[in-house]
Amino acid sequence: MKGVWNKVLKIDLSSKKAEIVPVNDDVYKKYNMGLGIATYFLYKETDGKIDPLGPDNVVVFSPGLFVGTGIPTGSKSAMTFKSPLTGGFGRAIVGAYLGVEMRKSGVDAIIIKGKSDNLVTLKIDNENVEFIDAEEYRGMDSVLTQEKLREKYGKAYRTCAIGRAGENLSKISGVDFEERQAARAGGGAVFGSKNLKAVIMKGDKKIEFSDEEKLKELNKKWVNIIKEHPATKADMDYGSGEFYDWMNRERGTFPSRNWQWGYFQSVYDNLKEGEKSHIDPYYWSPKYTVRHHPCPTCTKPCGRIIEVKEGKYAGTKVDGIEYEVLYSLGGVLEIDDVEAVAMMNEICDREGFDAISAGVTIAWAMEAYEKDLLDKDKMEGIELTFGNADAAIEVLKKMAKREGYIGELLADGTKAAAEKLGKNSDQFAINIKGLELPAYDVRGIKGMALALAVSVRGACHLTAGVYGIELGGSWWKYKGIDRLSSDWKGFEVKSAEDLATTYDIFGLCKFSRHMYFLEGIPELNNAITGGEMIDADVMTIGERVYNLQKMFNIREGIDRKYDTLPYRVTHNPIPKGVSKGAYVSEEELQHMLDEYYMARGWSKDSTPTGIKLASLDLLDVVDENLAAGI
Amino acid sequence: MKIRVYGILRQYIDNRESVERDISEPIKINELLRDVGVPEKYVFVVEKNGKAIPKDSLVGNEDEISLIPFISGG
Repeated sequence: MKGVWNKVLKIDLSSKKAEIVPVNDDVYKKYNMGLGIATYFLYKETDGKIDPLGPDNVVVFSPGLFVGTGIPTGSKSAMTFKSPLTGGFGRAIVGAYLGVEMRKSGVDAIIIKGKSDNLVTLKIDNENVEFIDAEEYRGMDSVLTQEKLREKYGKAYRTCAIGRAGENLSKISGVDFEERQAARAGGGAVFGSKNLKAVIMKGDKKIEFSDEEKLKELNKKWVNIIKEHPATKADMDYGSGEFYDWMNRERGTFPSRNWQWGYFQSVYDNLKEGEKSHIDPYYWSPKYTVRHHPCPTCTKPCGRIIEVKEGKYAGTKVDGIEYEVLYSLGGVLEIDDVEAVAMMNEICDREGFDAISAGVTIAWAMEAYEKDLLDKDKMEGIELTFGNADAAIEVLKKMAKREGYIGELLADGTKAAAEKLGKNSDQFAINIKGLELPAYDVRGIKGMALALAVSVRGACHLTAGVYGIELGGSWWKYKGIDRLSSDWKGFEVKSAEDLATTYDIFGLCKFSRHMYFLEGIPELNNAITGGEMIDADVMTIGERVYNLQKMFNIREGIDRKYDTLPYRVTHNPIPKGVSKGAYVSEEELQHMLDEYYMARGWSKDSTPTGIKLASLDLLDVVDENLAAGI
Repeated sequence: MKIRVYGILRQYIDNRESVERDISEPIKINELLRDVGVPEKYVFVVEKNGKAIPKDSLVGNEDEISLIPFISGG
């Protein structure tokens, strides 16, 4: 097959040895690249019930097929691992320049296992690996570490690194790829548990495509389609938070104050005509943006570097602020000060936290503090009330170091914190399977509630990404969707998961799914590989890979019992605003789960059936004794 | 009639939040879109008085129309 190297690089940190393993075409036909082979190799290289922070856990990194081909927004690579946060399938998708180097290196994925006896950097030149002592970078932030590595070894290397949070095995830590984060589900702690501080990589080979001329022609076509699309200008001007105001005013589904509110009440209730919330990108983007900061081969960059030049947060410079962070370090903490949010965003990135999980965890602590559930004698004078940005900043720094009572309590996210604290604080711990919820108040977006409940990695907004379909009511082939109804959500979520999975396989940004949809993918794949893919094949690959992820969780014992919603979503209706009164009852959730498993071809306890796995040609990988109906 | 325009579609109406039109008899949404200058292919949902309607529906001068793009989100 063209467009792939038919090889992967296996690295054992315990023995400090690396080997090239050939991979035959059948694997690519079934799983393609990116999240596809990253899921396949993770499943194959691990057994169930391993310690996610032990040497048997594996990290797989693979760029999507479109990475390094020039296809606009074909920029995403996938990292998979067993999640220390959820105990299940761990996945993080990232716009990594390191992925572009890998496409030029001679291998399609790296598979890292074992544990080094000293802190190391992996230096990879094409297929050759060196294990370099990284002790000098211990305790250094992730961004600075990468700058130092490029200074030392040359700018041609593209990099990733963990910060202090990962070194300290925080279960909500991620890996930074040159200020793009593979953030969610605790991959940073997996790096840390392996004594792996950084990876640097350089490739200088030219991968061969099946039809170079056709690919050039298609690239030109898509560059023009994207250039004309109105989302391009909006993304470039305001970033992913462009619709923040709409979410508050028109849908009432921007969760705030630890999900006590469905919109940012204390701000929006007091705005005068023409005023904007200070975390609304329409307010801050023109004022603070220094330059765009695109992912590889993105022609519609939503990423931007912003800088705070004056005031008490002066010196803050960060890639952001993404929509999710406007919530996790803004609304959910009741902070409307964009400069403080920017500073917290930078701390998260440098220390190596998943900014969603870290912020939502502090929101939990603020509620616990105000309810007088925390031991205030051990708070070292920090008044952790909603809206207190300086207190949140101080706590965030303590979390990275696991310092003091509050730093240690919060370092592993809301689930661990609520278990440690007790006192019914799990009733306002906003997580599913351990992963903190993203910026969609799913009480008023019921299909999205189902999507978060069933996602294999916990409360992830991008596993299905149905928020756009639900909030708008119509998209692509989906019509007449009622966000406040719990009916007919099963197939909607199932099909959206399969489609979103394909985006992570091919490495396309999901913010271009309203441009490429499904139909744009096959001709690009065919020009690269020489295959004869049609639309239906794309969905089948997505479904195959998703089922394999699910089987990873089934192998861990993660079934229907874990497909839940936070207590606040099922018991506390949205109090005010456009979605006032909305919540998801336990009966509605069970009804949606039944519909979803039926649409998936899974049993009532959410286990894929043998016939489903056979129809997806997965029985050579999974243990069929784990399937239902056999 | 008032036509409220959201998000990325506002760039077609000089970044305003809404536009007004005075029509003497009901017209189809797609004709209205042409008149306002918002390309139909980028409008995912049209709401009439808060309820989603097909793009070939008729609307009258007393209706309030909302034009909603796809929410690509974050």
